[in-house]
This record gives sequence, C-alpha cells and structure tokens, in this order.
Amino acid sequence: MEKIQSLELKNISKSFPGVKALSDVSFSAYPGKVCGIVGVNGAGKSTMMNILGGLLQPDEGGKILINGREVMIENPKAATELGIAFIQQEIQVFDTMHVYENVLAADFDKWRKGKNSLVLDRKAMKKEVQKHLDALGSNIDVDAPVYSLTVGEKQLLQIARALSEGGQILLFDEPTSSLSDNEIARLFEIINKLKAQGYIIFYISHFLDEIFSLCDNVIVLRDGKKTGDALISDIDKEKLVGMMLGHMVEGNARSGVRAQSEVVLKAEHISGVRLPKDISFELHKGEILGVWGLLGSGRSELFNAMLGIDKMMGGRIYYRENGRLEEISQKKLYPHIGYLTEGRHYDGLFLDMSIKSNITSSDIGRFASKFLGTLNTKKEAVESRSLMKQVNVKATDENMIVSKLSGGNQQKVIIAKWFLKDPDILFMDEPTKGVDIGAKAEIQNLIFEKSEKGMSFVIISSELEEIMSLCDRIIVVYEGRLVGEVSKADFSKDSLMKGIVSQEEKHAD
Amino acid sequence: MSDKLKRFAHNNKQPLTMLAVIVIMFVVLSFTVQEFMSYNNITNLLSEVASIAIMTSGVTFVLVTGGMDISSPSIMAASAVVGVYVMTTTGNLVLGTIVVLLVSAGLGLINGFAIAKLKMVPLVVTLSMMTVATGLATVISGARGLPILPPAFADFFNKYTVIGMLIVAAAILDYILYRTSFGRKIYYIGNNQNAAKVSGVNNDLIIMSTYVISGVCAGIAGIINTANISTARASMGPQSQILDIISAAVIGGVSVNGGKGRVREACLGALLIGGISNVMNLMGVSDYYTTLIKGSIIIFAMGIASLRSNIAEKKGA
Amino acid sequence: MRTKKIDILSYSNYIVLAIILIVFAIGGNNFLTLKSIYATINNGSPLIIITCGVTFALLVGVIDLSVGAIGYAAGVAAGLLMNRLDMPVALAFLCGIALGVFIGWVNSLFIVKFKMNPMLVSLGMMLIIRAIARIFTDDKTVTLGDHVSAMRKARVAALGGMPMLMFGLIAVIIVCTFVLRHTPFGSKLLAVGCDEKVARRIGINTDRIKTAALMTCGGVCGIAGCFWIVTLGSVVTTGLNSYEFLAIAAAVLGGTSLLGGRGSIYPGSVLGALILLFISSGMSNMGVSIYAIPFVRGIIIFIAMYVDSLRTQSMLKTPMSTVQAKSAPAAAKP
Repeated sequence: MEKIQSLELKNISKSFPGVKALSDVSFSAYPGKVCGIVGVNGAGKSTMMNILGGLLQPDEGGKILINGREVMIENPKAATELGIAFIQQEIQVFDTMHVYENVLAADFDKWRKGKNSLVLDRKAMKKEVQKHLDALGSNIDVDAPVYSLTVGEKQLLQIARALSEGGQILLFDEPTSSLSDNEIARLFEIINKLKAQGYIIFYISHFLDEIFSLCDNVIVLRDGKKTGDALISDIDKEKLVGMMLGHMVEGNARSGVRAQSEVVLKAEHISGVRLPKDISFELHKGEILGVWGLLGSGRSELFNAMLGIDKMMGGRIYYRENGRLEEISQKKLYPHIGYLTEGRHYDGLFLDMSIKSNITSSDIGRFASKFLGTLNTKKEAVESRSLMKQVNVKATDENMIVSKLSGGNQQKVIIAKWFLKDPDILFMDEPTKGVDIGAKAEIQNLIFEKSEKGMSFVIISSELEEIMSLCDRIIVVYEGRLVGEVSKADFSKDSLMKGIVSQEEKHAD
Repeated sequence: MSDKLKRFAHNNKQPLTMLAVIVIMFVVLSFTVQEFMSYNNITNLLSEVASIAIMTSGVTFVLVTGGMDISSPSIMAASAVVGVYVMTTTGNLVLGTIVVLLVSAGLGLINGFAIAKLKMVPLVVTLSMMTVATGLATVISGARGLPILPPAFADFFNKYTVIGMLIVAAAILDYILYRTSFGRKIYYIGNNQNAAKVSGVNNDLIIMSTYVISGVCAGIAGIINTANISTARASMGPQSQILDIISAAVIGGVSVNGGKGRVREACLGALLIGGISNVMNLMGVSDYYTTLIKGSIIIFAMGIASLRSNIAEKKGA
Repeated sequence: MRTKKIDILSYSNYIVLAIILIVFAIGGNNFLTLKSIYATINNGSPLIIITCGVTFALLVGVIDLSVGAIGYAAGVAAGLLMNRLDMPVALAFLCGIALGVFIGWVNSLFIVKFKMNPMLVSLGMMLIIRAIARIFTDDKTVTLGDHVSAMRKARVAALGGMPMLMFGLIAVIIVCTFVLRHTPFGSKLLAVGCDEKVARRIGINTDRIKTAALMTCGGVCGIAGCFWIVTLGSVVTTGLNSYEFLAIAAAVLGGTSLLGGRGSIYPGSVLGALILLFISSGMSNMGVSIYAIPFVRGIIIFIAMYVDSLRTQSMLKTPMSTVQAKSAPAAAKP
C-alpha cells in the first residue's frame, strides 16, 4: 500500500429520515498530525467517523479523496483496504480468545502456513502481534486470554489490530471514556508515538483538555455543520466552547441562593463493587444537587449502588419520613425516589410499548384495584395525557409506540414517567443527553418548577454549563471519591476543576 | 358505531384473523371430512385440545417475560404420576388431585428459582428439568405402570367438565396477563428487563411466579390427561409435545423474544394445532405425516413471525 | 495467573471422569475391565460424535436440537441404500453424510438467512426429519445383515480386543479437534460465537461462517448416524431418540458455553460425553433400575449446568462491562 499523504473530505452531507446529521462538511488531514473533532452530543461527530469507517454512506455530491484521488468507502472492509482503521468507543474484542487471535481476527486466512495449507501458523501470528505490541510499548502477553485484560489493555489490542491491518489513518472515537487516568496517560503516549511515525490521526472527544493537550488542529461540528477549523495554537477554550455551543441559551439560571431547608436524604460512606468509594452527602428539601465528574469517575455507579440497581458494598442511607431522619434500607427507599437513568434505550424505556404504558410504569400499582389488581386503563389514559401535556411530548396520542418518537420526545416520556410517580427525590443521570436545545430548556424549566414545589433533585451532567445553571450545589467526584463541594456562589469551572486538579497533582507526586 | 367497530377490528386484528382461519378451516372440513362437524367430534376435539391449550396458556406467561419453558409436558407427566401414585396408595382422589397441583407448582418453582435467582439460562434449566421430571415419572411408575383409577375420577372430569375448565382457565389467565398490574409487569419485563427494574418492578419475583404459573398449568393438564386414560404414565408427556405448545403460542402471535402476546390468542393457536391433529386422525392419516405437518407449521409460523418483525423494523427506521 | 485457573478447570473433567470410573470400579461388578470399557465407548460412539457435531453449532451460538434427528436420517438413508439398492457400503455412508450436510444447510437457510429462532427451527426440523425418515422405513426395523457385520465384529487382538470401529471414532475426534484448533475456520467460528457484532465489524463474513458451522455440524452428525447403524447392525425406528438433549448436555458438561464462543472438541465435549456414558453404564452395571438412570442423569446434568453458569458468570465479569453495555445501545441510533 502506498503511503498516504493526504486525506480530504469535500462537501460531505448525510441525511437520515427527518434529520440532517451532516451538511456540507469539508476538511483535510495530513500525516503526523492529530486532528481533533469536537462538538456537543448529536453534532454529527460519530456520523462523520462512521462515514470514514465505511459504516455509513454519504449523500450524493460528497467526495472523499486520498492522495488526491477520489475513493468510495462502501463498507468497513473497503475502509480497511484503503488504510483507514476505526477504533471505536465500545471495546471490540473477543473475550474468550487469546490476545494474538484478537489482534489478527480480521483475516485469519492470511495466516495459514502456506497458500494451500489449512493450518494456521500460530507462531508467525504471535510474532507479528508481538512486533506491533512492542511498537506500542506494551508488555501484554500475546498468549493471555483477553478476558483477563484490563479495559485499557483491550483498547491497546484494538490499536494493535488497526496497525496490523495496515491502517495509516486512525480514527479514535472517545477512546478515554472508560479508561482510568493512568491508562489515559499511556494512551496519549502511544498516540504521540504514532503521530511521530507519520500516521494520520483523528481524535474525537468530549474532553476539551484532552483536545488541547493532544491535537494539532481541531474541527468543530455543530448541528451537522462545520463551525470551526483551527490550529490548536490559535484558539483557547473559550473560543472553542463558543464554536461548539453557538449562542448560549439564556434565562435558565435560577437567581438567588435558596435558603437551606431540612435534610431529606443523607448518604454515608456509599461504596460499590469497584466504584464509588466511600461517598457521603446530604440532600435538602427542594434542593437541586449536582454531581459532577468526568466520565468513568463513578458518578452513575454512585446512583446504581445507592439505589440498589447494583450491589452496594458498604454505606448507610438516611431518609426523612414522618419528620424524622432515620436509616432506611434500599428496598424501602425505592418507593420514595425516581431514577432517570443515562441509557435511554438500555434501561429507560419500553420501546415497543405505548407512551401510556411507559409513563405509568413507574407507579403501576396506583392504577390497580385493591382486590384483583385490575388495571384502570381509563385512568391511565387520562393521567398520562395530562402528563404528556405538562412536559410537552409531541405525539398523536398516548397509544403511540415509544420507538416511533424522536430522541427528545422519548426523554420527555421518561421525565413524565417519573413525574407521574411524583417522588420526594428524583435522581437524574444526564437528563438532557441527546436532546435538542429547545427540549433541553423545557426540561430544565420543568426541573425548576418541580423543585419549587418541594421535590429534591440529584443530577449528573457532563455538561458544565448545564450543571452550573441548574444546580444549587455541586459535589465533585473523581475516581470514585468525593473530592470537593461547591456552593452556588462559588460556581465556576475553576472551582469545580480544583478538586480534580488537586488529585491529579497527588498522582504526579 | 361503525367507528367503534373499526377500532375494535383494528385492536383485535390478530385474534380475528385467527378466528377467521379456524372458521374457514372448520367449514371446509365439515364438507370434506364426514364426521367432523358432528357434535360428538367437536366436543371431543375441544376436550383433546384442552390439555395442550392450558399448557400453552401457562407457557405464554413465561414467553412474554422473554423466558423459555420446554419442561411443561414433562412436569405434566411427573406431577400426574405422583398424584396418581398418591391416589392409588391412599385411595383419596381429592388428596391426589391436590398433590398433582402442588408437585407441578413445586417443579415450576425450582425452574423459576434457578432462572430468576441463580441467573441460569432458561433453556438450560428447563431442559434439565425435562430430563429430571421425565426421570422422576419413570421411576415412580416403574416397569409395570400404575394401577387404573376408580371410574369416579374420569366421571368427574368428563369432557364437559374439561371444556368448562379450559374456558375458565383461559379466561382467568388472559385476564391476569392482560388486565392486571401483575400482568403488566410481565410485559414490562419482557420488553426491557433493565427498565423494569429501574421502574421498581421486582423482576425476580415476577419471573419466578411465571414459571410457577406454567408449572401449575401443566399440573391442570396432567389432571385432564389422567382422567382421559384413567391412570398416569411417563410417556403421557412426550418431549415432542412441547413443540405443539410452542408452535401454538407462536401461531397465536406470542413472541419468543418476549414482550408480546396474549393468552386468548395462544389458545386459538392451540385450537388450530389440535384441529389439525384431529382432522388427520379422522382422515386416517398416519402418525408420522401428522408430525411432519406439525413440524412444517412451526417453521412456517416462525417464518411469518420473523417476516412480520422485519417489516415492522423497516417501517420503524 | 488467570490462565492457570482455566487449566485446572479443564483438568476438572479428567478428574470427574476418573472419580466416576473409580466409584463404579469399587461399587460395580467387573466394571473396570478393558472389555467393558471398550463396549461402553463403542456403543456410545454415536453420542460422542453427535456431541462433537453439536459443539460446532453451539460454538457459533446456535442451539441445534435437530442433531439427533440428522444422525437418524443419515443412518436410515445409508441403511436403506445398502439394504434395498445393494449400494456399496462406503458409498452408502457417503450418501448418509452428504444428507447430513444438506440438512445442516437447510437449517442454516432458516436460521442464518431468514433469521428465525434457531432453537424452534431446529425443533421443528427434528420432527420433520424423523417423520420423513420413518415414512421411508415404513416404521419397520431394517436389518443390515452382512453389509456391516464384518465391520462391527472386527477386533484388534493386540489391544485387548479393541473394536476396529474405535479407530474410526478416534479419527473423527482428531479431525474435528484439528479443524477447530488449527484452521482459520475454527478461529473464525470462535470469534463469531464470542461476539457476532464485533466479528462482523472487523470484516468476518459471519453469515457464511455460521452456515459452514451448521453444515459441519450436520455432516458430523451424519457420520454419527453411520456409526449408529454399524454398532447396532440394524436401523430401528426409535434410534437416537433424545440424543439431541444428551449431546447438548454432554457438550455443556465438557465446558462448551451455550452462548457461543467457548468450548473444545477434545478434551471438552468428548470428555463430557464420556462422563455421561460411563455414568449410565456404571449405574446399570451396579444394578440400578433402568428407570432410575434417566432421573439420576438428569440431576447430574442439572448440577453441571449450574456449575457452568457460575463459571461463565465469573469469567466474563470484567469490571467495565456494565458501562459498555450501557453506552452501546445509545450509540447505535444516530
């Protein structure tokens, strides 16, 4: 394969039914450079990468040029043949197989002993894989079964696989989302090494710090359009954020600090199987408490362990009932709370069921008769209709199947579902993830409204702007531990980062 | 009024088409097969179908949670054999009947416990249960088989009682699955187990109870079959019978992936399958052609189901 | 460190087998003689081979319930060709095996091409195949007489009267093990079974591999059918009944996962089948009622399956697996 000197994309567009995921995006990339691609959720980053990786086809009119020649990337195989390797966000390995088999899995036939032989040349395979692993500076045993590796090591396998396939253009899609800090540092070393060797590297990330420390230039996408293309040395974070968000949505921040009311929930020393480790906090009535931390910091795990979705290894929970704050078991606590999870499709919705059934699922017992448990479907319909109106779900009626709704409306259905239960405390993990800006503002207003009426919220968000405008108080989680607490008056990016920075300094020592 | 009728037709498309198929089949058969439409044959048919239909209803609960129960016929045989053993040793028919239900519930509970609490794969558990239950039935009935029951038992569970039992059981089970909050939770679990858990549904308990329901239904079927032959033996629940049950459910629109299906439609499916066997019998077709046709029907039904979901997927995208 | 643990686990089958042999040697009556061991293995060769065959299907995550019926059909076909058409024995066997491959292909048509539920399809196929085969034999026993008796009776005196057929059995096991362990096909099979989506993404033609796996399974079961009629000397209508369940149980007993991607022919499935065989023959040797044997065997299978599920759960529980599972479906929709 000849050396790739340049990759150009010209006027790439991609439409899905009802959505224009990308419109008219052009840029180019060169060897020895790391090109960052940033944008908020739904900006079109993944669509872009899927087009390069051959998983999606661009609309008519777009062109992809390698070394100045137009190429068609019809499927992942074609991408591989062109030297494009896609290292996807989800770890893609075969757990029960060995390391060397995993790296070379794409083309076992190539590793037969001879052209007409049926036998795999395992020695040669191991040698080849060792070569790539050495080049990446890793000491993974080529004979180890993959399930015994850490996530970081598995990711390394994917990179080794990309190299063994002759990849010259490497696409990294959120590679750090499930890595620990040490693993991230190692990954960066490797990427820098690859950059020095003359690979073309694309790096998608939510984390601006990573972009600034790793990339040479950056491309910004917003709503499927390119809104920025700059050398990293020419811009700063504020400018970058401006390109990502466009005009800021205003008018949401709640003015004034609320008077501290009584404590409704107190968590002490919550620990999970791996994360979190020993987290304690208090929640006041009507308060909106933010939990902020990087992905993989143990934020979602905190909720899961505390609410009994995953196993809680240690800790106590106190809840105010009948005016007294008393210790309560997870099972007894659950009827008083709501939990909006991060994975809308994973554990949020019943996709093939109606909006009505989804909304009433949080408290189905309410619609059942005492004796036989017969459901009152009329009451279900009335209540879900009124909630749909309250949170502004756009649908023909309450019998519509949820999978036919847009992402934003699906999210609103989940919110309606928890509003139906009307719990004292609502835990929300990324309540506005993948939701368009208009719906986002609506959801935030709904949260304010409910908190005025005395509902307490604990909210996880990875978007700083959102969490700062929503919350009254923010606790900062890092590597499963509580590292800081910031009250409304002191909200700033710096104050939130301080906790994390101090931890990182400890690491450096 | 016509609007309401339209709505009704739309909401009940599945059972109505099935009913139409069954009626057409019956009409055609009444012209071609002589004794088919006789009162005697129809009541016989219904009482023959009853045991399969009741087991199908039970298995439907399991299928809707996204589980699988292939041990139903074996549980039926095992519980019936134990019950008849008790009846003939104690001479107490009522006690024996209760024992049948208890044993079937117990075996179902073991299934449910292994699946819900020990997190084992449903197919594996019920497959093992099938061998264990069949083994149990064989051990107890032994080489010589169990003695014949006094005629009082068969007299009580005559074909009219059995038809009555079928109708009542199907109605109750359909009501539980479709109209109660317990049933709704079953649909939630079948649709998305994780979301059900987050919504506060006690998944383990519900899943466990579906296997118990399936077990008890097998027990009721065991009583019916026992009355039919006045005794019980291990061969009463051949392993191939599970095929009739699953295909009845699938033809009735129950999804083997969970989250879809109703008891009444599964029962219509059983009627269809049972009708075919009955007709074959009347026409004097030999046993293996009947199995051949039944095997083809299940593959055909699966094909239609997968075609339907493919079309739905395309529409959704 | 972890690798060592697995070694002990795969050893465990040898240990279990040894314990069974010892227990029955002590409790039984002349159980541990070469002759009786040969007899058990020889009579059990159809089960051992069907277990090997079904392993190919299980490895790609397909629970094939038609394997017993495929063996039956192949045996019937070969037997009839010999008996009625006087076809040479070898050719008749080849036809039987070809029939097995063909049925495997039909299975794959439904399962892979039309994406129908594998278990139910193969359950239906099991009925259909058996019914057709019985139509052909008219539900009567077909005696093979001279055609195979020489083959059945051949013994190697030097090895204590080992039946010649056992060489065939060993050859089948070696070939299957070789295919799974040393060919690209075997590795692809494991990859597809381990994670079909990932395999497809990195460019393995998963549909083709699954089809090939089912056809291999069919072919191997066809071979089992040939062994069956030779060891029995006739084609009986109830032959190989419920072997599909026994074979799957044996494979799981031998460490093959029902979810695909993990397992082996030797030692795995072969030892699993041997354990089942020796439990049955040992119990009947000890004079346990033949009615009790399926019961005891059922309980043993139940326990084995439970241990397997524990093993799978502990092995695949990597710390981050939940996080990935969560992000995967969200990423699927653009």
